[in-house]
Amino acid sequence: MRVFLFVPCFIDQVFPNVAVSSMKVLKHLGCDVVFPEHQTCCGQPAFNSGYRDEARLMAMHEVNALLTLTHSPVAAAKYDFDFKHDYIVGPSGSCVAMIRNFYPEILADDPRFEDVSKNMAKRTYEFSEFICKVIGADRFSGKLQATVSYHDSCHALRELGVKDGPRKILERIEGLRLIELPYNEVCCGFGGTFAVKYPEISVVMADEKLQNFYQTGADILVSADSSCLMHLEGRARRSGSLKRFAHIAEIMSESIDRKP
Amino acid sequence: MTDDREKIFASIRRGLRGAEKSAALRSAASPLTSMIQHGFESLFIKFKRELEILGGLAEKVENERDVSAFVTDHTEPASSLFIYDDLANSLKSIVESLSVNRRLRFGSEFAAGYDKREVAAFDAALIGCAACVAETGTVLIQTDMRLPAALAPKLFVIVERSRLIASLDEVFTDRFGNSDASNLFLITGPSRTADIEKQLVKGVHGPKEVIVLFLNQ
Amino acid sequence: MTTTEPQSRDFKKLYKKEVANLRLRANLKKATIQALDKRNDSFAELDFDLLRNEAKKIKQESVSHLNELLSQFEDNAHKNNCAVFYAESPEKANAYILDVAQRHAVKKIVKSKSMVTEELRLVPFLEKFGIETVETDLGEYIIQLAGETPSHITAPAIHKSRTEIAQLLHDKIGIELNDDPTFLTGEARKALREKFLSAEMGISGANFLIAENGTAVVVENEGNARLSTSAVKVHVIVTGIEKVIPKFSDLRIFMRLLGRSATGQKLTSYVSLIRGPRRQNEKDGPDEVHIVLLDNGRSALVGTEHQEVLHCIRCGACLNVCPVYRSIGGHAYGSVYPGPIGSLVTPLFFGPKNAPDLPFASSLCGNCTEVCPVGIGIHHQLLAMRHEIKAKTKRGVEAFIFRTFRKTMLRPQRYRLFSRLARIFSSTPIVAKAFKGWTHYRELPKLPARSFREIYKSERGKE
Ligand code: SF4
Repeated sequence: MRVFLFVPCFIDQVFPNVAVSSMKVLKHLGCDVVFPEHQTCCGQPAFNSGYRDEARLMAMHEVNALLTLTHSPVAAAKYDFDFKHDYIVGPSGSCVAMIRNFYPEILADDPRFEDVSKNMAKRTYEFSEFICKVIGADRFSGKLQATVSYHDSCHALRELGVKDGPRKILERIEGLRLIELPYNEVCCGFGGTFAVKYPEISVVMADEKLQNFYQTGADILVSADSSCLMHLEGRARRSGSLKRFAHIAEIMSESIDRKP
Repeated sequence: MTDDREKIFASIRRGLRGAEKSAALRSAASPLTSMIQHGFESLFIKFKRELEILGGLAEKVENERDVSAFVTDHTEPASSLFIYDDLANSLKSIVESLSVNRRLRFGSEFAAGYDKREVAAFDAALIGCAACVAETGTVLIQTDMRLPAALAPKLFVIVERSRLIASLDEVFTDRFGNSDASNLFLITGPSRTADIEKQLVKGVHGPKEVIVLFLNQ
Repeated sequence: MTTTEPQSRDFKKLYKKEVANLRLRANLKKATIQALDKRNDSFAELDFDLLRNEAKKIKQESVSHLNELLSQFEDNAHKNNCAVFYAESPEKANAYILDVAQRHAVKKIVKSKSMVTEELRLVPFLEKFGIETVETDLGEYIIQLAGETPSHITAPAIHKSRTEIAQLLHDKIGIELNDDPTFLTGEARKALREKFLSAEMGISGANFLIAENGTAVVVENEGNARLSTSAVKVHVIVTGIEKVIPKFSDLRIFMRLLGRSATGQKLTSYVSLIRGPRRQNEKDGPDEVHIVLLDNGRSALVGTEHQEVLHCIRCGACLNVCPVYRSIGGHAYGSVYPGPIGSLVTPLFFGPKNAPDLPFASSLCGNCTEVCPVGIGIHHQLLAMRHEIKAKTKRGVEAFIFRTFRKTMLRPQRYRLFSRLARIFSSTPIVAKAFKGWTHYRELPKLPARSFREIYKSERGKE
């Protein structure tokens, strides 16, 4: 099974360990993982801020870039991606939602991209979702002594319908205890540029989420979206909290190390 | 004063152009898988549960004597009761036995243009109803005098058992949709509010107590 | 009543004030969480998705046959002896209502809850002409006494605590200072009972208009709407043109959804199905019923991408579930319609210039869409509005940033250059300043020495 790893720009730049861990876990589970090097940004920040045209241009670039490995991504006819057998997997619920739910919509009026964006959407998965739906969560096992809570990011939860999967995966880790957050479906307040446009509101929401997290007594807050975690961790550090915030791929990767 | 009907219709028409071939109107709303329906007893249990959760009361009574005993038990001596005409006419013995120690007033004493203040002073109203709905503990009333039932602190609804229906599906049908009356009220439990800190308070403008008696006749 | 009305144009100013109000936030949190818990419980015995699909279908059908249904409703309302008046604008609607009141020499009006009358600013308008107009819904009554506007579409006084309400009633109607809700409600009942008995005219909204039989449906809990529509000589119903639905039987769907979504009730205490004035053989009820149908921007939405906004049944569930609403309250929106649906309706009804920020004041979490009983894709609608607004604003700092961002992302070489520069400058004060919307409230993450692609390259080199 060949996986084209989709590494959203901010994961590439700010959280490379999430991508390293994703790659390692997928390889561990028997996938042949490749990284299309011309990929940059899926366009979601622009799209959600209202800049549809900029987002469209980025989407076109990203489609070509994600589907090609060797040459520079211009020639649409020469995709390396095999739409029957290959998958695109990304460790970010919100960026995957961009490709899967919105690319077909914003590229629908361009004949060069209409079909390819639809076909691509069908082969694109969020990391934990891919493991549960395509590989099978029971193929995974690990070991890690930790008490964690899981944060549902809104895009993974509502745009992609990812809810039980990550929990099933965490349950496969020996020694790990999962304590549910109260009000786990309430947004943490990140929301992309919302976090800087309306920071006062954004952090009120973060503080609610953090309070709920502290209340569980867990040591680590795990999520499938690093963006929520960056926001929550940034807020927690400001008030001196030492709790850990980790992407589910990182937790999985660490748990493999401890279980040879 | 001329209204803007034509302007508004033209604006809608402009919007719908190109979409005019939208699906034709259905002949009826798609029915819901209705609540399962079984005989009076189980419907009564459901009705009672729904109404009593809301702070109302539902009882089965055997005959007219039981009704007047019940009303006597649940009202103060010398209190004033308003009795709707349909009840007064059909349940004469109730009227007789209640008149002993309650001040009774009847619909027939009032004509159009009556004084609202007089009606606002009643302690309770006794009324019949078109139907009761088990699904929600709802009573349907249609009257020629709206205010006594809307203002009295206590409302007794006296109804034959055959009028208990299973669900709202049966309410929203031609049977009740095509009547000639100016009004149909669905009453579900006491008048209530939660406008102050979401704390429930009963008896705002309408009845604080709603009591439904199912008569075995 | 004179109030300096807040404006949605000032959202940025307004929300900053409200978000800092801890007591407000506590009031809201308590109230909305309770409403939501009850909502969730009340749907337990029903299939929410099934009902929602049906409701959505009916509403889609209603809007796509709007003229046909309005004509049908109008015909049937006429048969029922109601007068029907179409008003394109609030001014027109207000003028008509005033005219009705003046023709009957009305001095006092009892009014039940209606968002459309808020949209019209009807009460201050009538009061200007010396007609006492009393809000009779408890929450609205409180708000009217306070000289405020509602902060929620179904729970107008949700932002007030019992202590504040007790003080207010003490000051305004001279009752003893006691914050027990039962006591307060009882006192309000007394004051309002007197109004009902002396008023000549009643004004209500309508939640639904049934085309096939001309019925106006009014849903409520307190019994005040029932009195406002019954204990008066003239009854005026004011509602939006989008409220018409085809069939009486459609209420099977909507009645089950509305109470549950709004307050977690299987059905509200009262549903008044109004079919016109007092009949010959009836002893009370109004002698005249007028139905005012307001457009105010609604018809212009038909056939557009935003048509589904017209499906809204004003249940308020999207407000209760919205973490932004819960953080700032309804007044921050500066509009009659707050919360997620308000952020759509306000620019659509009152013009985007009046609410340039509202569509952006959302984390797009989608919780509103999840609870909406008529299946409006609220957060996707907000996104579409953002696209429309930004398509028109090519200038400005933000547009420049996103253009530069896009140019960077389209050239992998530039992207790598950007990456290198970011690493050099990341810990300098310039960056902290540039990102002050972030750094003022949160720590920035430390940039790692190497990006993933650099790590990947060097690993591959080793292989
Ligand atoms: S948009 Fe939906 S959830 Fe919000 S008030 Fe309207 S119907 Fe209710």
